[in-house]
Amino acid sequence: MSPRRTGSLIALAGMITVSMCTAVASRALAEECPGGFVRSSIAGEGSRVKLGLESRAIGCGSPSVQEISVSPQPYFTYEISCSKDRQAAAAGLCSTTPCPDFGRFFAFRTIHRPDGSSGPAGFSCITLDQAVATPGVTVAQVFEAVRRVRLPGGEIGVEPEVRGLANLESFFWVEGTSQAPVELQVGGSTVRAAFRVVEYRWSFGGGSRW
Amino acid sequence: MELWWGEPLVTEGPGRPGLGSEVRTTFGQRGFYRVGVTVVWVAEAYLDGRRVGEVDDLVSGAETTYPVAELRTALTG
Repeated sequence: MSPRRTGSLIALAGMITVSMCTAVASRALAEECPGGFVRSSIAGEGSRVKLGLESRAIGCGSPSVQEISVSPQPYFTYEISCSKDRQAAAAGLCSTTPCPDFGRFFAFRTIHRPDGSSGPAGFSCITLDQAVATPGVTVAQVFEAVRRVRLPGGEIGVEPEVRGLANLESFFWVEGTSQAPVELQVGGSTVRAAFRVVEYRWSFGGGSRW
Repeated sequence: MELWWGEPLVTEGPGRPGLGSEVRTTFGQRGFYRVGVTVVWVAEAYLDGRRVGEVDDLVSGAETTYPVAELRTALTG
């Protein structure tokens, strides 16, 4: 092959390569740059939150990094002030709350300002999922964690102890129904739950003849 | 086998043996009785020291079998 012809072939190959690259780049743009990614990050400390957004498109141009910063904003937390048990709520102070809708509860609102101060901010009718206990943790998550605590059933005591007599009274009681406060971790926060017994429901079920 | 059912009792205290007991019952016939108690709890929940609310209708329970005998008087003569 002559040097001149070889040079022509090299030039042609070069043109084809450039052409293919252009085609690939064009296709990549048309297909939203496969291989690229968008990455977001969120970091918080106290009442400050920093949001970051980074995107990179491989083969589609130079990397671009954008950081978004927002100025600290106040946020609200909620304290559910009425029993979730509708029957108990109706019997207590919460019977006249302006939250008649099922699934929404009367809650006192607290505002937490960027300077670290906080104060009362009225009330709200809110669902447990909407109610924020602390940033990133809802009241529903807190309650769910508390419900997972296994509580002691106690031990039934009876007098007469060995066996009762028909038509004479027998006395029953329960021992060992006390539960010390427990601490649970929920979303990086510490939940403390203090338990107390409010009711004992006795049943004397069925008797079987012997 | 013969089965029958008693009336449920609800108290706000655990009951104590003796006249002051809040839980006492009378069985009408001899037999084995399944005695059960459902303990109803509420919990006050705090997050990072701040009250979040009250979690109610938490339950636990215990059960036992209680035998009841019957005295019969027979007059002879």
